[in-house]
Amino acid sequence: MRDPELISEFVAQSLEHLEDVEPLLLDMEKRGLASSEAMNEMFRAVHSIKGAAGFLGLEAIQELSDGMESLFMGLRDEDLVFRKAMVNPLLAGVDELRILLRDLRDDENSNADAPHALVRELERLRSGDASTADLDPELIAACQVQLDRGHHLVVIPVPDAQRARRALLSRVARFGEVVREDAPVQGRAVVASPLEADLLAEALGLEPADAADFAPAGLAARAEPALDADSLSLLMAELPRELPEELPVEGADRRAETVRVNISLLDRLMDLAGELVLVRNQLRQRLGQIEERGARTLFQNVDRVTGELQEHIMSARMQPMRGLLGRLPRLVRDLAQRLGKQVDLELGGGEVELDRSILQALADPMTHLLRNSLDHGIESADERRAAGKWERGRIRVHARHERGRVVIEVGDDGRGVDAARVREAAVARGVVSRAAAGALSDAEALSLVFEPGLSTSDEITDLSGRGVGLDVVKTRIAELGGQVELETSSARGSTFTIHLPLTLAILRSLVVSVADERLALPQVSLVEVVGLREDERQVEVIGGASVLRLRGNLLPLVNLRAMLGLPPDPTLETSVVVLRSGADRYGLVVDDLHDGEEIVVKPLPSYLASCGWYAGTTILGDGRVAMILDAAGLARAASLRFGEARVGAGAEARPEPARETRSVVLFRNGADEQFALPLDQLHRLEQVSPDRVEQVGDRAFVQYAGLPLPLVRLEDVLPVGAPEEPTDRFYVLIPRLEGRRAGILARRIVDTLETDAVPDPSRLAGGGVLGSAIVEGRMTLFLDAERLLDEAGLGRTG
Amino acid sequence: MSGAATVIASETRLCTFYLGDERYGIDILTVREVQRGPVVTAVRGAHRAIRGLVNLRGRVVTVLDPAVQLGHDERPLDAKTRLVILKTNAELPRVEGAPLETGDDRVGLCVDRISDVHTVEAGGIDPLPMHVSGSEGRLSGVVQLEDEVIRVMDPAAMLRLEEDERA
Repeated sequence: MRDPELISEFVAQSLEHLEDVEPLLLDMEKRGLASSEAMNEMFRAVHSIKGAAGFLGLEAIQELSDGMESLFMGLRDEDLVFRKAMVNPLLAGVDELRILLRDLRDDENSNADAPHALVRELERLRSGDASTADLDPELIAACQVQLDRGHHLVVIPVPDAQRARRALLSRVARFGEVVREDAPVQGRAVVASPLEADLLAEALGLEPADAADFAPAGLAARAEPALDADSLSLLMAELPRELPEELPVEGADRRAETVRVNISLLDRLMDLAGELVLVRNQLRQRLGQIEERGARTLFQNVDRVTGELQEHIMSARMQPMRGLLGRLPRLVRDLAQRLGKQVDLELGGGEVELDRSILQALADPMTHLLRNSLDHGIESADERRAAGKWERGRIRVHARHERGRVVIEVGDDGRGVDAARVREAAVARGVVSRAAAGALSDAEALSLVFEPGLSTSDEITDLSGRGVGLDVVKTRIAELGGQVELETSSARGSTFTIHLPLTLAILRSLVVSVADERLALPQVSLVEVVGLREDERQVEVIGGASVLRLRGNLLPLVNLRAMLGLPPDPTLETSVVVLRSGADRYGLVVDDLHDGEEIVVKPLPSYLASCGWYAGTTILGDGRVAMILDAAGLARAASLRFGEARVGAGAEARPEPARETRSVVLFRNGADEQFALPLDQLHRLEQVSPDRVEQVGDRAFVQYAGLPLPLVRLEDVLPVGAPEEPTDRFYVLIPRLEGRRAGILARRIVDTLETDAVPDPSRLAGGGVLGSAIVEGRMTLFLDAERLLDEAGLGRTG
Repeated sequence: MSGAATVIASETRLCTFYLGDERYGIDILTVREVQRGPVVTAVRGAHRAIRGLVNLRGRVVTVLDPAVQLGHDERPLDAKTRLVILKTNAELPRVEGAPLETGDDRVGLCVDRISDVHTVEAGGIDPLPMHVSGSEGRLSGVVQLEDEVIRVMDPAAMLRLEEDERA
């Protein structure tokens, strides 16, 4: 029996060691050689795995790590020459070790066998004969000649591009002689020079780590250098004065000291911090009644400490993106190799932190997007050359914070997504009709790539496959409370932008009530809110079930009071919250609506799992527990009445007419609000740089079509937030209004889409706002362009 | 766990409380704390014995009515109601010979009034007499005092819900 605690500690540490090894191996492959420093680090990592495995009696792990260790040792001590062919077996070794370690984590008594073929391969590579056997005897002879002259033999990287290669080699000629290009491997050259490797690197403007001594077995010992002091100083005079700046290496930064903490402990600390906030709030109320100066000051301290404590505990659940990003180079390398494409991966924002549960759930969609870029985005080298692009494609993954959310961009410089082809594919696969496809704008057509069953690639590859595509990505991201958007052009490639909340534990929700009970509805399942007025006879009873007649459509109604076993109260004015559950929509009748709240989700006690229509629990601001309703579960629980309502409606009503939809442009200006302007009210949408906006008095103008166009800032007219940060571009929405010229300033265009949401005038209406509705899961203000210009004092100009 | 009385080696300390006029006890090793009943959020559609949820220092606790579990009627919860919060299985101390068991969720039993802690010598808990009815194995024995009887609860059995008792 093995000690489970020791084993789990060993597994965790070993997996961390392997995390360090993989990027170094990839770097080694890219540069065609390894610095002895990197070699040392990999050696140490594998060595400590081997040591601990030996101690714990884990033979398979010990055997495999021993094979890897001796190869690293041989390379470090320079009795082996690095070859690219070594990278694959070493990477395979990392993978196999991971598998063995994970088996062990699941079952501490697992006794899996070592992958013997791989161990033998590593031994073969180690035993040197492999390294000289494929070296050309002629090269060895030529090297021997140079060595005998007293020169150093150095391997340097040479670029693939012809012009850059010639430039480098002509510089080499000033310090020595090229013995052979593309030796010992493609993309490198063996150079003989009186300068030692590091000096030569300096002279050539290479990183010192890039140049390595070439010492294959079979060469006789190096003679003493035949260089005298004079010729050395002559050569040194040729050295460039300024050394090339050191390139910052992402992710290679210092690791702060850490301890492992159980996640459940962090969750508990978070609960307690939340509770402390509530106690503080109660204390504040009490203190309001007592007038004592000392108590005030003390309270302010408690207040500050409480806030800070909560913030830090929240941040303890956060992990940097680095871990996730660190896995991508390997993925991209493997995929690129299989597809025969050349790709550089650029990573950024490794320091951006996200809740660990989100990070975990993000791995799949990110992998998918990268595959998509490599497979469909990046062209073959030939195509790229023909298009006048660099042969090597570029993929850029970058994370950043933006207004309390995390934004991740996955971009490539490939061929882009062609809206026309998306239309064709959508018609061919039956996603939309031909007529409907023709009516779509390019942006709308592009948004179809997120529909199930759509792939525009001509061939089906084993990477991205068919059918499982971006719709999965969109679903996953939505489950995390985020959105994904696509921006594309044939010249610049495609960029997918993912917006995510910082933490999963916090959910945007609408709090509703029946009688004196409050319940939370997750924002993601909200469609719209409808006020019920008895006199308008919106509610009908068909086949014994109530339905709501909404814009010519019959919507089954679920009465929350009835569901919860509460008696009806006919005196109440009720509201209907329209919820979506999969493809179904239904109305939930509630007594009252409260504010939207960001709530902390707590798991449902197991005693309540059988109820089926609760998604979890939460603690509201006053310290009371509230249930979170599950829209799908509620629909299921009400299925009898729900089903009958639909059948009844179908039997007695005409076939359900499609809900009226209209196209709107969604945009944002300040931090919080989302706005919508119907497309038929929009004349033009222009992008302008801030320096084109001129201020005259308190009115801003932009030059448009040769005339100054007055601009409306939404925050001046409406009770909405102002943009916080400066920007490098504005958008100006120019409404289509008879005899009036003006533009509305916006910071970000979110989307153009068809929506059947109808703004509810009872909420937030007036002064240029038609009303509000929920579009794409967010409360959106629908603008009335004409009234808005009136409010802004921009009258008719005739 | 029923019949626990016979395996308890040395003395047992019982946390005792009243449901109506009847005095009950539960091994104090399974009790985490006793709380005033804060505001209980009723959960519609839950089992009849589930009186609702409370917020205990940021953690959601399920309130279970032991009287309902023992076949009595629901009583209204009021300001005098106390919650006997039990330890979860993970929090129980290890006891040689008489392993303790509760449940995995944090649960509070709502009781009418808390009484004192009563210490029983080994063998001081008698088997359940025939006339104590409706316990469904939820009581493990009785302690006979001069003027009253303490009915001893089996915590794990107390926390198990019978099927098909949905309100």
